[in-house]
Amino acid sequence: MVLLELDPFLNELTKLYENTKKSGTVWVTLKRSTLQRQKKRKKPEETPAQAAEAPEFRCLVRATDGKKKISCSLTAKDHQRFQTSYATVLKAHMDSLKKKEKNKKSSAAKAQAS
Amino acid sequence: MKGGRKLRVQKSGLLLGLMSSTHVESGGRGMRSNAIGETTGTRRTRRISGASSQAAMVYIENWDDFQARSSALFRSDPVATRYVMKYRHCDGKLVLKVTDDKVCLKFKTDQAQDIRKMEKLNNTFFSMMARGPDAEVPEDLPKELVAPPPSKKGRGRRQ
Repeated sequence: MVLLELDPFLNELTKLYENTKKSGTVWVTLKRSTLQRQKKRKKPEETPAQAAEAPEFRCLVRATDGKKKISCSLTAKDHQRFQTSYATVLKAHMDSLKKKEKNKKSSAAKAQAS
Repeated sequence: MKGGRKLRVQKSGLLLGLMSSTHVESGGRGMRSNAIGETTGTRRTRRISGASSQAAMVYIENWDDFQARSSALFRSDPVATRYVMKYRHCDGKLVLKVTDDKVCLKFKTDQAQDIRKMEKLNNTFFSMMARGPDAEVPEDLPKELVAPPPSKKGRGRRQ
């Protein structure tokens, strides 16, 4: 698992999408994390106040194509920038989906229903 | 992780000789056997207790339903819920999964129009992850897309 900064992560993600154009899958996982290990096995929570004081949430983003794994850890400040960049990458590469098939029929059906 | 636990049990079973096969799942693949020894159900059926009847993987047809339920799922357990996106360019398919390891919601599509919906959901999740599960950021469309075309004011009839 390669942990990257925001911009290298986006570059590598772009490469993943480009490499899997003919065959393969791109998985992107988004998860929130506190990055705090719950040491419940060894030591009980002697200071529960500490755990509640600084819950620094970070957003983990992982991407893989089945072989190569990359990941990135975002802070609250990085979210905005990542959000727009990530959307750009997705729009640029997700172009193999079908485009508005039978739109006339579905819109007619919606018009009749409404 | 789960495989590791099973290995430990099996190893201890071999070593101690006390842990009989009845303690370990017979077949190791979820094939349950009752007291008589018959295998009950297929590979898919598992111990479904009364509380976890929602543990089945669900493909949701309606986007709005998927969006509402996944947002609610995230709010109920922000740390455990994860949002997975799988894209296959060669097949032209996109699958979204939101799960907290208890309930799993999935949405699959091959329509390009769903990409915009997915981006809105992405924005929702990003804002919830950044600012806490209670925050909801209004749809921030980038100005590039929202720029309306300049109205063509007629210069008068060209004759």
